[in-house]
Amino acid sequence: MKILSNNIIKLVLYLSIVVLSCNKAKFAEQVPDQPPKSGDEKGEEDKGTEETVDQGAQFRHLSLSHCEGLKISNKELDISGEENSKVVIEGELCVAPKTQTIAQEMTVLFVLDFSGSMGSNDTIGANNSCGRQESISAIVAKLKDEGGDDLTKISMGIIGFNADATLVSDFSSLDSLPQDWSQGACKNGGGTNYEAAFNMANDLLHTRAGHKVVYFISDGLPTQSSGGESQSDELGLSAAQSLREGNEELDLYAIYLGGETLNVGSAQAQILLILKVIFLKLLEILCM
Amino acid sequence: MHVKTVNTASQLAGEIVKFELPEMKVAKFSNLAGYIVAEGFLERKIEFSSFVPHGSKENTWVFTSKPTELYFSTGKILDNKVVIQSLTQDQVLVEANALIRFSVFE
Repeated sequence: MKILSNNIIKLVLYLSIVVLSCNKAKFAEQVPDQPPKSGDEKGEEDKGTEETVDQGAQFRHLSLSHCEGLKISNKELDISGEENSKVVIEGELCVAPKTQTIAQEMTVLFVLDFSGSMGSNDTIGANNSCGRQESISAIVAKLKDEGGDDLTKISMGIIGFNADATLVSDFSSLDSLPQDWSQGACKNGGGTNYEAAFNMANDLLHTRAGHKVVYFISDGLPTQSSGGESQSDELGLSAAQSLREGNEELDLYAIYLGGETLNVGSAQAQILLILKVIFLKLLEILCM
Repeated sequence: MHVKTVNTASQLAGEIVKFELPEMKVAKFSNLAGYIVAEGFLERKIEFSSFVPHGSKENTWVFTSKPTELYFSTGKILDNKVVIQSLTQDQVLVEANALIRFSVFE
């Protein structure tokens, strides 16, 4: 027994999360160094604890079924002190991996650049495949692998955009995606209208419940908008901002194809690169 | 990082899957609450001085209570049951329990 000198015992209490199915923690590793408590001293309120505690022993360690290895020292748990002694309880809460799978509805929307330049920038092999389609397949595979047991909670859709935006594939549940669902992802031709793309994304998403994830794939700066080419950057970013503000639980991810522009030495390419960097910085702010 | 650039089309798929899925992010907890209860006494609320993500362990948050009085009964060991509860971001209630046997002898 340790007498407290300053009335404060620092008790390091490592506790782990216990999910709904396991609300009663199991106490383990108990070392008998004091006689057991007699039965008539046990109060009704302790019944729940008694079920999981060996009453014939004093606690040495506390370990819980989740977050293995989290323990409490007996010295600090089985304590004695003076009247009105205080303890500081410290501990950890952690989530078991199982609880991290998709727990509620989620909508995934691909927003794909169909502009003419994608024809040369986004072609893979000779089988008419493209990085956009492979990206969709990769995300689908990831979600099927990590999305939990109920894939009906995850819906996916595809928008394509060039001079305007079009719905390529309407929302389908992840567990029932048609085989050819992403087949239209490799189209090319026309200008680049970010404003139309983000506006359509907002129209489709703002009424949907749960988490939303937008994957935006493009190879260049916007060239068209409702205000003409001169306002295409500004209106494109504004539409992205509206998408951000109109959807609380939104993750907006953008991936740009064409980093090789860095190696182009012409003055025109350098200006384009500067504009692109500025635009990406602005978009990064919006995506955060 | 929410914006990336890649050089070639064949890199797109490999990079896009690195973006974090929303519900697989580091766990977030809210509404941390705790109390101590002992036979013959009213439930006492535990107040916390901090509750923050662990610096190096994923999905782990660390809490620290303010100094909290234990219940005691002079001359005997009194069981103080500690209950800590919180909600994850997807509203899963979590609960952890501990038992402190506290003794005060004259």
